[in-house]
This record gives sequence, structure tokens and C-alpha cells, in this order.
Amino acid sequence: MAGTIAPERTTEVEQMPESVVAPDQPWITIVWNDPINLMSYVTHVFMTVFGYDKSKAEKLMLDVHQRGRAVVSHGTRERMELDVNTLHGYGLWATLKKDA
Amino acid sequence: MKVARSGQTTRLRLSLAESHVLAQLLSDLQDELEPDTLDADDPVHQRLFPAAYEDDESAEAFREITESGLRQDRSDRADRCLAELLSARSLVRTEISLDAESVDRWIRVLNDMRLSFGTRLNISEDDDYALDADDPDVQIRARYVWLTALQDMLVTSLMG
Repeated sequence: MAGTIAPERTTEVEQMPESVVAPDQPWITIVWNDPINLMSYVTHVFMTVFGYDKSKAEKLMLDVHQRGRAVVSHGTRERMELDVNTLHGYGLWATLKKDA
Repeated sequence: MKVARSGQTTRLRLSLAESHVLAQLLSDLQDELEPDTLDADDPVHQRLFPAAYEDDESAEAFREITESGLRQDRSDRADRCLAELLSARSLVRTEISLDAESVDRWIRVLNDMRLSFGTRLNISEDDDYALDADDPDVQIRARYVWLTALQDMLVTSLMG
């Protein structure tokens, strides 16, 4: 796991080029299918929360409905936690995880 | 129950009986959203404040941070809807005029009620919304079906 071992304070380490440092892994927000939320409502939520137009929101909603889940956003972990919190406020079943 | 859209305004019209039932349901939701009403392992609590992470430890940590805010927001929305309903109610009928933002709030409050009833009724994906007089849960089901119809009409009015 990166980032848990303190680097030795040697000149060599200090001069290590920045490109060696792994960039933050992007995280994803997943919405899961559930039997209560209406298809029209889920479309409305995607339009309102993410600003998607109706056709994009409907496509995403159908992905959730037919495949059981869909990735609805990706970005930093903090950003995804905000998205998940917003979706929970709308009653959607949303989770986040590191993108594999 | 009737929903009509003209310009940016959505009008929700309810009969006296409907507005009484809706006021009671909103009041019940307010009670349910009080911090001590639902146990943490109650399925309705789990549904209103779902796990954000697959692993329990992260999910619990996330819930500790977010639950009180989500609860307060839900409660505030229910309060505002109940106040609007009561101030619009007359002996003849209830008619509430809503802008897009208020419709969104109503839709969300109706959804919270549906999540609560639907979870208790163990609603399945292929539920047909049928009512059976012999079903001991028929009254709750009737309310669930009515809330579903009202929510769908309001969502549809927004989408045009």
C-alpha cells in the first residue's frame, strides 16, 4: 500500500522525480437498483443532482434498472462522498468505492 | 387529486379527505424522523440512511458524519410541506401552487414516506400496486399506492 511507510530522509529520495508518485486513484459513485424508487423519480434525481439532460438521465436510470447498478460519477474520494450524501438525501441507494 | 402545470407553476389540488390523510402522513413522517424513533438496525432506518461503503467500518464512520444532517434536512422539508398544506387547506378543497424548487421538495418528502411504507411492506420489484381486501396491510398499501401516484404525477409535471 502506498503512502504508509515514511521515506528515509536521504538526498536520493528528496530528488526523486514527481512522476514516480502515483496519482490519486479515481473513485466512483454507484447507484443500485431498488424496488421502491420510481423510474421517473430516479430520472428526475439524475437531472437535478448532476444537471444531465433528460435523455442522458433516462439512459443512466435504465442502466440501474436493467443491470442492477450504474456508475453515475467519478472523481476524488471527497467529491464522491459528497455525491453519495446528496443521493442519500434523495433516497437513492448509492455507494462509493475506488475504481478498479 | 389533480396536478396541473402552467408556465413555471405546478398546482396540486386535493380533496378535503385527501388533504387530511396527507397531513397525517406528514405528521407521522416527522415523528419517524425524530432521532430516537427508529433503532439503528430498523430496516427503515437502514433504507433512509444507507451504507455508503461495502465494508461495515467505513459505512458506519460515514453514517456517523452524515446521518444527523440528512435527518435534519428531511425533517425541515417535511415541516415546510406540512405548513404549506395546512395554510392552503379550506373546507372546500386544497390547492397548493408550487415553483420547481418546491415541487422538488414535495417529491422528496413523498419519496421518504414511500421508502418508509415500501420497506415495511417489503415491496418487490414486480409489485403490481393491486389492493386485496383480505390483506392485513391493505390500508398501508392503499396509502403507499396513493403516494406513488401523487409522486409520479408531480415528477411528470416537472419533466413536461
